[in-house]
Amino acid sequence: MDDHWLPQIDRKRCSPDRCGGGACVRHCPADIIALIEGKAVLTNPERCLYCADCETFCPLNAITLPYMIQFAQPITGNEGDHHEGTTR
Amino acid sequence: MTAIIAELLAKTPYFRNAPPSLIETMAAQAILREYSAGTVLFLEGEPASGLWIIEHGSVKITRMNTDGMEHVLRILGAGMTFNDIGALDGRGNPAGAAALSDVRLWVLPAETLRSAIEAHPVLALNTISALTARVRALINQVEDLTLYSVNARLARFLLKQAQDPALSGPGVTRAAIAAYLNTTPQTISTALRELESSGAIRFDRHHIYIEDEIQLRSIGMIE
Repeated sequence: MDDHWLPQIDRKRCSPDRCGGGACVRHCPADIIALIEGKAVLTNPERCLYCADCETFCPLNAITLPYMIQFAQPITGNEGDHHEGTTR
Repeated sequence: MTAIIAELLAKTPYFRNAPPSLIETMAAQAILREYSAGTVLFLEGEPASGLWIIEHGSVKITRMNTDGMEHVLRILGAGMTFNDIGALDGRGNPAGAAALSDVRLWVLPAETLRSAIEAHPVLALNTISALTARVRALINQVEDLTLYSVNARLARFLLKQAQDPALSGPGVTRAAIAAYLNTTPQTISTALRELESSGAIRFDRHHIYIEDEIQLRSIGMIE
């Protein structure tokens, strides 16, 4: 998995003491964020849903998700090639 | 190694139609710099070291207000230059810069650039052209910020990013979009949801696909 396309955690900003002990940990639907040595860490990045809940609920803006913006590929009519988007 | 920066320089507005020998001389004086994502490259007000050229990755150009709130002036990708003003007028950096991704950059020392412009009229004309393009871009940016809603500004931003592979490639965060559009990440999240509901865009993991360009252009009030 390309680490670039995962939630990016700013360890300097991350401060669980100031967010009730890990807002991202509580809200992650895949349960893949844990507090290790007082900082949020992705424990199973391959299971990340990229739902952005961690980013949304982090009050310290310590988590960000990079997005690639591009024009959609022409739909060929083969539904198998067309992935449904994530609802957020 | 200098072949890479020579090719990059030749594509910048400053060295368009410049003699190859001059570009090679400039390339030999450029300094390679590599940084990881998040690194502050320089601060606003510091002495300008030179003209920066992006070989790989993306960079944000920022200004801070007195409360420490960041406004992103530009998001730049491969082949683009930054800190042009500081390099040309010899004064401090007019804005700060930080790496949005891992980056590979070159710095052409300010004195080297200014000496070349003094000696080669074609570079002076190129410089005027480049600076007028920057003024036009800033006028458009002021128009965006003052005349359009967040949804319209976001639609225009998404189209601009998608049209330039150098910008879209390394990815951009909601926080960076918010700082560029002078709003909050929460407002950007709401606006993205509205664009998705309208069918103009679609999320697929780390991709934001523009599904309906005509509709997005309409939302962005682009004729």
